[in-house]
Amino acid sequence: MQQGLTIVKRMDTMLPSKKHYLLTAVLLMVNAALIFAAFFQPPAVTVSEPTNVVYNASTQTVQLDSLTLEQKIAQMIVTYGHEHRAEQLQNLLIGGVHIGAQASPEAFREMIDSFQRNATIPFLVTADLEGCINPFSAFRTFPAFKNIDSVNAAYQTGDAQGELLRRLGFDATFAPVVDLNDTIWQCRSFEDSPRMTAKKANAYIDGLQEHGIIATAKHYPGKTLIEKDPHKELSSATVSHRDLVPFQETMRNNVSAIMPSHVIVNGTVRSYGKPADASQQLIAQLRSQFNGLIVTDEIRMDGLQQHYETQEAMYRDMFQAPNDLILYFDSDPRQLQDLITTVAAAVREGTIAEERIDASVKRIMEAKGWTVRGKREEQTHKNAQGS
Amino acid sequence: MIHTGATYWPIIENTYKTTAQITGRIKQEGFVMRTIVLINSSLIVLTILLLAYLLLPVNSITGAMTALAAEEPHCYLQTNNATKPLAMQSCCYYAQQQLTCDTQENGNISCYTGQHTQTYVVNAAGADYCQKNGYYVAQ
Repeated sequence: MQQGLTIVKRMDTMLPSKKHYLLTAVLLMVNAALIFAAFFQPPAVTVSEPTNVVYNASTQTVQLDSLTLEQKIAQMIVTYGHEHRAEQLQNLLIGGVHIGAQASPEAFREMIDSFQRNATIPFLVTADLEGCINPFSAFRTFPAFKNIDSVNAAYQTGDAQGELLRRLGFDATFAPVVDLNDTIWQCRSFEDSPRMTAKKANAYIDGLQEHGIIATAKHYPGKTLIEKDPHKELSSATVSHRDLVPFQETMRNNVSAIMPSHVIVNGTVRSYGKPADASQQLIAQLRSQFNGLIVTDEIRMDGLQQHYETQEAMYRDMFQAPNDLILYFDSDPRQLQDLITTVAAAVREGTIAEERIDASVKRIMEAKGWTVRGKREEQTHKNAQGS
Repeated sequence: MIHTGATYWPIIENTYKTTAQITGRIKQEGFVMRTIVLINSSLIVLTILLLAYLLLPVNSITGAMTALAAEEPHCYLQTNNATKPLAMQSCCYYAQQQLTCDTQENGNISCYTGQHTQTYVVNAAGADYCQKNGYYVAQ
């Protein structure tokens, strides 16, 4: 008996106490909350067809003031073209879709048609056919930029790519890369002197644009594809006049679009501590020399995001700077709506001028071959004209 | 009723009169204790995994386990004659645009379009990273 009691006394500390049960209860509650936070999905975004938009598909005209502020902001976004989200992107009135690789020309056409078929305002359909990156490589090859050894070969490449892009239903390609060097992929730039890079780029641009394809000289103001730490995006660079030569020359040659980079730049061009495409001063300076489309690089890349504590701050900067098109490749409608709502709030607060949004939307519509009108009576409502 | 260690002893003394009875009760309470400790330990592990899932750039509980196992997201760009590391976001951006992604035997995912072009290879943590950042990189 005594021996047993001794054992019990020794084991006494092993008996469950209130704190054990309390800990269990607390952990259960914490886990329930975490599971809810981790896996609760807000209701799917349901945006109905934008019946407010006054437009005429046959004359390709749209009345700008019939678009809500949110719809105008949506027109400034190019997102990734996931086919299953076509209807939601159409209803949000997203401005453009970027199409990734497909297995055949037919697959490209079907994919693009799935977006354009019921779109109120057609999407600007974009591709990354740049240097040595080729979404058509399953059925068509092109020379890498670094292997293009003459101005004529550059034109032939642009011409062939322009013909293919137009035939498949594309409107734009984010090419040519006119950075003087590419030490990362080692094939995306012409790897030539500034003058020769500019000549080849202009010939290539001519080839593309003769087919009505928007060419994009990138990444302004240069030195973007220089590797420092391969695990990180380059965050800052000093640009010189040499870097700017291809951009100045392509602008003179009426390139349709320019893509600024996420790099903080100093030197001949300065971005004042912000990534180039988020710098109001830099983009405004570029705008003063260039009347075409200014298209940001994809805005979720580390090189950009690491400069901001919150996404809201980044969104505001990207839209405050006079960029026209913002590449945002997360096509989740919830994320897109979050972006649009944030920017709309900034416009309503007066941080971003609505006139600046309107100016970009006009440029985007013109790039799509559409005309923006201001008088309601000149328009035919979609429902009335049955388009 | 919940008995704490401090209050338990007099109850035992009054209730159980033989060594056999006391030993049986010890075994029973030891089992309850072990069960409680097991449940609490499991809940603590689950809490850590859920926190990792919420706070780290992973896309699944498996991804959280991988991340906690200290596997960093990695991406490699393979071209005809070279393999080199690539920044994750650039990698996700371009990997998503490829035609096909295959899972290799070692769990890496390689994404490519045609022959003689670039292949983007991400490890499991890298694939989770891409997914968590809204880039669809999967088989």
